Amino acid sequence: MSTELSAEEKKRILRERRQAKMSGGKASSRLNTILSQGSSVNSEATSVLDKTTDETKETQKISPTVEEGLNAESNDVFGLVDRSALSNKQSSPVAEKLDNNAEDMDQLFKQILSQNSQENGSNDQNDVLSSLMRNLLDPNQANTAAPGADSKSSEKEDEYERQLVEYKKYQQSKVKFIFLVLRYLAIFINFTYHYLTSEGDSFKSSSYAHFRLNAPATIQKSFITYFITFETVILGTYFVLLSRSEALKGVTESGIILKGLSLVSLVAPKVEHYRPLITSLLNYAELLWMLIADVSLIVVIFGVISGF
Amino acid sequence: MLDISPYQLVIASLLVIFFKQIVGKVGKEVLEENGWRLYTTVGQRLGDAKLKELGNRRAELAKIDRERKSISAQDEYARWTKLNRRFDKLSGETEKLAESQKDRKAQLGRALGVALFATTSLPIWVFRIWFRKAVLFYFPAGTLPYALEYVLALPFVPTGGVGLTVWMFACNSVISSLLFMVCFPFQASVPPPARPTNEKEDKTAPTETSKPATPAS
Repeated sequence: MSTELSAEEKKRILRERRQAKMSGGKASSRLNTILSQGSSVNSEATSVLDKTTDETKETQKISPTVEEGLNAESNDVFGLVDRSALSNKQSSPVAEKLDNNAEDMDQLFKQILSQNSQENGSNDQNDVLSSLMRNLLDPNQANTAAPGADSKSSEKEDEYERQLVEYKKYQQSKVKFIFLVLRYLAIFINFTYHYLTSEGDSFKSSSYAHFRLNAPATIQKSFITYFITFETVILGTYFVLLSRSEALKGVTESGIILKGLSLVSLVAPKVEHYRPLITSLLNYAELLWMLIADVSLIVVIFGVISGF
Repeated sequence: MLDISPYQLVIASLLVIFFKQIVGKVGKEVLEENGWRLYTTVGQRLGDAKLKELGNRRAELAKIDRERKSISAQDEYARWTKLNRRFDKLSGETEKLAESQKDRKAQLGRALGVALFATTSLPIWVFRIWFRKAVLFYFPAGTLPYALEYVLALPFVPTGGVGLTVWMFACNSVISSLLFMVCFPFQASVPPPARPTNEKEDKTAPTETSKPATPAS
């Protein structure tokens, strides 16, 4: 026990002596002495203790136990300091200082992210990520979503967006159904009229090639004329609806090509400039598929009557 | 070997494609389930012992369930508990019996898959390979523009005619459109969604109930 006490007393005395040496601006010279030992190059480092910045002023405000610990650590070249005792003394104030620093950094990051998200029209850093994910999954949701700080209201908004997408899909199917019925009716009526009014076998298909030589020119040409007229009117109306209606537009934008474009635009934002062009091309492609479907109906009708 | 007329080929390919589209629309799983149900019904009538036992237990289970639901648990507690115990016991036994039939069900599923392949995909491949250069029919001259007739004649057929490739594509397109036209009216309509109101605005708005009661004089 007496040896431990005397050992502790020795450590304390050593610490006090070193502290006395460090004070008064002698820390740098002592540091350079230690660094220059055994080398031919003289170092000219400045000790942290001698720095006259805010950090040193703050360190001066640290509690004596912490300062003692810091000094002991810096002086303990030969590992004589009882680190366990120091750490017990240091843990609460130093840890508090580190925690405070960590909290400051967290607050700083939050401020930066909230500034960025406010510029994008949102108030929560999580909303930035959620809006990104929404943009990837469905561009409609990204455009119309209004993420709020309240989780319940955002859940309701998400549910509303989901229902809106379902509604738009149903509306598009309904419009496609109506136009499909119109197109098929027009083709059937046109075909039936020409089939009933044609002379003999002039408007009939056959597996024999000589049937092609018997047809007078006028009737067959009027069939294609009427067909092109009906197609122009019906498909033109559909195109106008597709390009102007919000309901149909939203569903087109949820296609895989435009979703891929949204993903690419995250990496290369300039690609976003081509979105209107690609949307127009997709609309034209849909019209082309409708035209091909109508020609297919003509082929099937001629094929079915070829055996009669 | 496969000496059929062009018109027979037209109708045969049309029917095969129609059947394939129907199978795709209904779903293979639904067909397997219904096939199994039909198999168990027919198997019972033909005298399969295990299927008969399974059918009898299921019928008894349904009967007990109907009886149990028809009585009140509070009024006839003893009888209800007895029925409930019988139901639980019987449903456990039925499940065990049904589990033992799983292998047979899997065999039936495989057989059904083979049958579907033989009636839908295989004929199409046979037609495509055996009759790839056959002219199914010719359009009457002047009906369609020359450019369109040229495209419709691709890849092996003279201009003005239609080959199997274009015919199958046209059949697929028309049948899927017709199925859409038939099925869409039966689809449940989706009403427009109601935009959610802001709860905070509702809470901050003064209401009659939130006003403090005036003290009685």
